Amino acid sequence: MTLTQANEPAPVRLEGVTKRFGGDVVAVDALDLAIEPGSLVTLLGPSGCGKTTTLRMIAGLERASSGRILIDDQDVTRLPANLRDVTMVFQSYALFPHMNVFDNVAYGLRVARVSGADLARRVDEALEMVGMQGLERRSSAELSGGQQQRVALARALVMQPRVLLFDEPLSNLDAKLRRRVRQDIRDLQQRLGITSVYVTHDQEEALAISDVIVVMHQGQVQQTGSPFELYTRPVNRFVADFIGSASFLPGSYDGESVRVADYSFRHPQAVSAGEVSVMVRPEAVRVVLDGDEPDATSDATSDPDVDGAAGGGVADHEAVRSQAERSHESAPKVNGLEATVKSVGYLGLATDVVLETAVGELNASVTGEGRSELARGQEVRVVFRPAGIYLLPAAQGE
Amino acid sequence: MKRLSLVLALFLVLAGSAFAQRVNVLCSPDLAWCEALGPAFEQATGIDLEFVRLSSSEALARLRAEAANPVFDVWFGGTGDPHLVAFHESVTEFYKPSAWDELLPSLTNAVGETYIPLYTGAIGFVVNEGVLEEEGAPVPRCWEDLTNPAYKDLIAMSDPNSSGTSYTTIATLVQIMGEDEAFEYLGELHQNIQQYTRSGSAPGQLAGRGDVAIAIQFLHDGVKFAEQGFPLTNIAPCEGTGFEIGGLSLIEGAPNRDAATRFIEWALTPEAQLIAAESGESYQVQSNRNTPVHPASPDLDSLNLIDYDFEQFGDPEVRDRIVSRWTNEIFPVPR
Amino acid sequence: MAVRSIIQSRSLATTSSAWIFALSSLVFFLALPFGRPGRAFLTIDPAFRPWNLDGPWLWLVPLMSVVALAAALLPLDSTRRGNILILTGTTGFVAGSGWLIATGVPFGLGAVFTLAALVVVGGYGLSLSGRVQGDPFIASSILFVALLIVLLIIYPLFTVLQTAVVIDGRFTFEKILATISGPRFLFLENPFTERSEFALAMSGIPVGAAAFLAWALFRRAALSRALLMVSGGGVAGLVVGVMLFGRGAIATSLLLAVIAATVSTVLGLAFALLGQRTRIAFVRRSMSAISLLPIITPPFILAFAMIFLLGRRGLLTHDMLGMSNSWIFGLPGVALAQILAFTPIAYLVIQGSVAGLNAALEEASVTLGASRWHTFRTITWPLLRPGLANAFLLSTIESFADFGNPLILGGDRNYLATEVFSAFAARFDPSEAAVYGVVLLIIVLLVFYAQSRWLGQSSFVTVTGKPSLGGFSPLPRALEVTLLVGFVLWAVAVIGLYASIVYGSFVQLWGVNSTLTLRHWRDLSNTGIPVFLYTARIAAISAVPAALLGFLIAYLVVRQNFWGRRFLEFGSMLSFATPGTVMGVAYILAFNTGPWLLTSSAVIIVLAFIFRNMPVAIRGGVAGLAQIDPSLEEASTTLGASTGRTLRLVLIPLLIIPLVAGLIFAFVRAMTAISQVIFVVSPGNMLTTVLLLGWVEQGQIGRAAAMGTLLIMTMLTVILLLMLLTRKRGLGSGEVVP
Repeated sequence: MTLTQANEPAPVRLEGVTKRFGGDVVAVDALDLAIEPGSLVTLLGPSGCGKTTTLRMIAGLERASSGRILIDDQDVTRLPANLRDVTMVFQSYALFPHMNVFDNVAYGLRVARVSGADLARRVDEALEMVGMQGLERRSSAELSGGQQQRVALARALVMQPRVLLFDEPLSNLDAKLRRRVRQDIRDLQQRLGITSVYVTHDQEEALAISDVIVVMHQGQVQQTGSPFELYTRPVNRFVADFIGSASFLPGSYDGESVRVADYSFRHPQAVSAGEVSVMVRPEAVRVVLDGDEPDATSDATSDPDVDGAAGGGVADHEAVRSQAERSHESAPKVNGLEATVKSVGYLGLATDVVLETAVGELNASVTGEGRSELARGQEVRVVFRPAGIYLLPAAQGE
Repeated sequence: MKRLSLVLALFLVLAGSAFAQRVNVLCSPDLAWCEALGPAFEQATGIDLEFVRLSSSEALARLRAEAANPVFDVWFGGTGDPHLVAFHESVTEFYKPSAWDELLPSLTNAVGETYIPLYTGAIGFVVNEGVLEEEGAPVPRCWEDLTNPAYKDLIAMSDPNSSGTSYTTIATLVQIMGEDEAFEYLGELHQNIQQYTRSGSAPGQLAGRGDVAIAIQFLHDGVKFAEQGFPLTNIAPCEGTGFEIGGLSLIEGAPNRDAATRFIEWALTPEAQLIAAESGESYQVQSNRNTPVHPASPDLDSLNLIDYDFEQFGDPEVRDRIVSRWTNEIFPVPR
Repeated sequence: MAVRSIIQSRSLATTSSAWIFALSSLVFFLALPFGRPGRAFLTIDPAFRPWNLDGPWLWLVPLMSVVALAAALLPLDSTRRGNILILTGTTGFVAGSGWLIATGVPFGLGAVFTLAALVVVGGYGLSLSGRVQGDPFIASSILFVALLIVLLIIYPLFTVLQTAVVIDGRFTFEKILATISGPRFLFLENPFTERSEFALAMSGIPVGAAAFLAWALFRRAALSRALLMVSGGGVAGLVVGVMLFGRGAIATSLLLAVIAATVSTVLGLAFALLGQRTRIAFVRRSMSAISLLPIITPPFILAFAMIFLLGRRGLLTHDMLGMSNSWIFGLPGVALAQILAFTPIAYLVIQGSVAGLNAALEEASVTLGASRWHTFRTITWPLLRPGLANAFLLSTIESFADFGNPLILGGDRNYLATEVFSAFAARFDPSEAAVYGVVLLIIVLLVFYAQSRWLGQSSFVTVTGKPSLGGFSPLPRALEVTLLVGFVLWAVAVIGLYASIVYGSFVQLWGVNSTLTLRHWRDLSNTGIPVFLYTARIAAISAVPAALLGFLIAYLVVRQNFWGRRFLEFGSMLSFATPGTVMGVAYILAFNTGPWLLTSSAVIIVLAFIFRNMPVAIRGGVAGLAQIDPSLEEASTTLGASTGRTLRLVLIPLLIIPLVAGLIFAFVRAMTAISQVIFVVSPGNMLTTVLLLGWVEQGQIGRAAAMGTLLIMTMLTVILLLMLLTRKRGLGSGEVVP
């Protein structure tokens, strides 16, 4: 049989898994997690959040202090690592330095007493899959980092594991290579349909390859969901901050409109009225230069990037209109949040701007031509675009 | 299972030699003599001989320690007193060899049926005259001479705590002078002693190399060093001197008793006793009167031998008292 | 089917391979005699078959085997199975060994194999129940190593303690008091002198206290700290007083240790500086050669040669300098011999610190306006201090434990290490020997403790440092010349001593008759060569388990996390720290009678060698493992390999060089050991060093010189082969020194 006819992908379930080190340090705290067969789930979090420990418990390299781990509905909590049908790709590649590429890939097969033509065929297949055929006789020391990681991947794939684990496999590669290899990993994983658990602290990497992301912090799951869900609807400030970047401003919500300082805009969201913390993605911030005030209609209809003003997206129709209406009714006051430019960082595709407002700092990612006019100390107004706004109950925004 | 058979094989290798017939000898004379015994005995009887060389005090300690599960079959040589103690403590047993009547009667009479006399030798001075000359000191003739301050730092004897030779020397002095006088003498002698050695024959070696000028020890060891080429002369003290009766004992509960008795019988033959001088560098007078006395051996008849009381001075209590008196009254005195 | 279907089916099967060991324990129990009548291990005496033995609870052993067998074969969940296996393994083991202890019957082959198999059953239990993370191999290894450490290190030392305080079955401090107040231990107040040594020694207290008070005032220390310093000063003053005015073993050994350690440390520092910063390349290169000397030299050979060069009629002292005295016998001679032996050790230790000195730091300090003295005090000294302290403490330990040099050159002063031997072997007073042993052990452990506390090192494994590359400012001319002169003198002395040994083996009578002869070499053929070959065989046999066990312990300590890991570290440290004579007397006390009867066999010598030399391999293993990414082992594990296979397929190939080095050092150390094994040689199990000591003591000079030459040449060859091997493999040859 060939690799493409691999095992039935297995579901993985963690039930109340806890890992304590030395009695009082809780690395993983009562973790529940269900991984669909054939999906790629990423454990994402800062270092020390328990993601690697969780991965190692699935591998059997650490033993859970309590709780159950089930692979394919079988309790493997106490099964030694070498008897689990799970392989792992390591951060350091962990290629055996005293063996060549072929022997490295063949290692697990030989341990499982596969030999002869069968062995050679499977190793060839695995190497071909990662694009390393022809390099069988190379010693692992002669390979580049990317090649080493491919061999490590082949070594893990050749075992046709029920579950494939990745422990920050790309962190030793340079940025460009990282992007390419992660795409290869994702392609292979989807082609073979192997249940995979992937650990990283790099949110971009997580967003790019995952079916499901599990954000962890201090041994606990903060949120589980698709990349889109996590980005647009984070459950708390930690997730919001960790996935992409965000600023948080205090505000109040009346069930319909949000008020931040004297800026108010409509934002339909199922969150109880009262004090809220407003998450603002940088790209949702639209900066309006003084003396270049957009009127309501132009703001609502015209493309902001050719607008003379700088902005991060389409401003909310409703919100701006209501503001406009209100400003007509009362004093000729322009809706928006007053801010002072604190710093400007040009990044090519966008310009990072840090703004000081009366209620806190605000990060903005500004595109468009007008951004070149931004300068430190400048007084500006900002308005928000709805796609990058999300309301959190005030307590979770702390 | 492969590993298990390896372990078994190791055990077999380690214990393999236990199957051949052999005799374990605790050997107290000079190593060279001990070394020469094995090949000769194997040639004579076909029995393997394994030995450990320990001084007579160490040998007694070892036998006591192993009394519950004896390792050795025979105790060969060493001063008589420890043999006597071992006999009284039932560490050894008396075995009457067929050659008993061929042994020198003076020796068999002195020890009775306790251990078998193997050889005899007398205490004396082993002197490096070259060193004496260089240091401007006369050649000593008598025990009394040794207290001469000219010999400061030039005399060595062994420590009675570890050496039977030393005990024989002190017991001799006690018998010649009386106990208190002997200790007074030892106190004066102490001022001239360069060191008390652990082993009984070491003083002669020091004298041979010139580290001291005078060694108090058995004369036959002096002969050994002289025969090796060291510039040494043997002097018998004028007041008379004591002697030892080297012992040969069968260990109680010897694991190879048959081989042990065959060894004892063999060891008392003139042929076996000749080995001592011929290849063992040992020049004691052998106990079998049919064994020719080696020309270099000290002629015991010409020495003024005292009537050494083996009974009294072989008594462990007397021995302990004398040794501890020496240890407490003589050894600590500064010099 | 998946590749690992076979594995998986095994893992999910309802039986456990523990049944093999459960069954083995049963078979061994029934097939082999549980005890033996005497010393011979292989005696198959029907009287010691289990059914001929008293004590019905001995039958708990096979009962437990049967239960374990059932538990292994029945379909149970792994936790329950594990718990049953732990219970049966433990009960069976306790019953079996308890029977041996209660009856005092020496263990037989059956006991060894049955109990070992039960330990493995327990190991399976620990692994399956999850009490130990790791597979049965790891769990069993932990159990075995712990048992071996208890039986062959802790228990013998405990026996020493017991012998010191239990006399005739009664607990008493009489023997301790009697020994300590006896003239050999601490002969402080000598009634035969007019002065009062006691008063003089006591006067050390105020002197020391005053000195430290002055220091405290100078440093303007806080009151509490000043009080501490003053009381410390009092104690130090007393110790110095006792050292100077006492005469017994403890005073002598203390004084000896202070002298030898101080001088060795100073010389070690001088050589380390020279080795790194001299302008003469040849001297730099020859430095690494001197570090080999202590490894290849039997312990008392230098002392022996010193007599011929430095005695009253010595070549140097008498013939060349015209001196005529016997200073060589006693403290000065022993101190000199120890300095010659320990300086290379001190050099090795300090070398690391000196390499860590950074010329740039010193220059930076000077450019910041500091004076040379200030630079030395604030930059150089703090960097050097750990290395110096380490070298000093190590030399101190070595000096206390040294047995050979005091035996040859000690004159009639007493030393702790030799008193242990004399008390046991000559005076046959086991309790007195035990008291000396306990005292010596306490002192050495205190020094070890001080070392680890002061230097903040948790274990003995980090003795050597790694020299860094980089340019150094050369030494000031005057200093360099002084150091060079010192080094040359030292080198000439050492070369002269070695040459004189070789010379002594080829002349009729060393110092008297210089006619050339091969007689002494021929004389070796009778006893010398057979004993040499036997020793080599025993050393080789013991080197393999010593190296493997050392590596296993290193692996367990570094890579595994389990309850009792500290105990394992401590036990191994203990076997390293305990002076050889103490371990020797411990072995004879513990293994001479009763259930663990082992004396008068090759087995006890092999065991002594294994546990004596294993720490060297541990150190090598720890250093080697530190270089290996743990992911390699984890990769192997996740690819399906058991720990045993991982060790064999991954770790051993990667660590082969340190492993071979550990093997060779274990061999070399076994070849040159004496202090422990002198207690346990027996007929047919004679060792070279013990024989050599006999020859030296009895004046068979030529033979001794020939054997010494043979030993040195053999060791040198072996070590050079090792260096060649490591160089070929392109691995750092600087790492080969233990």
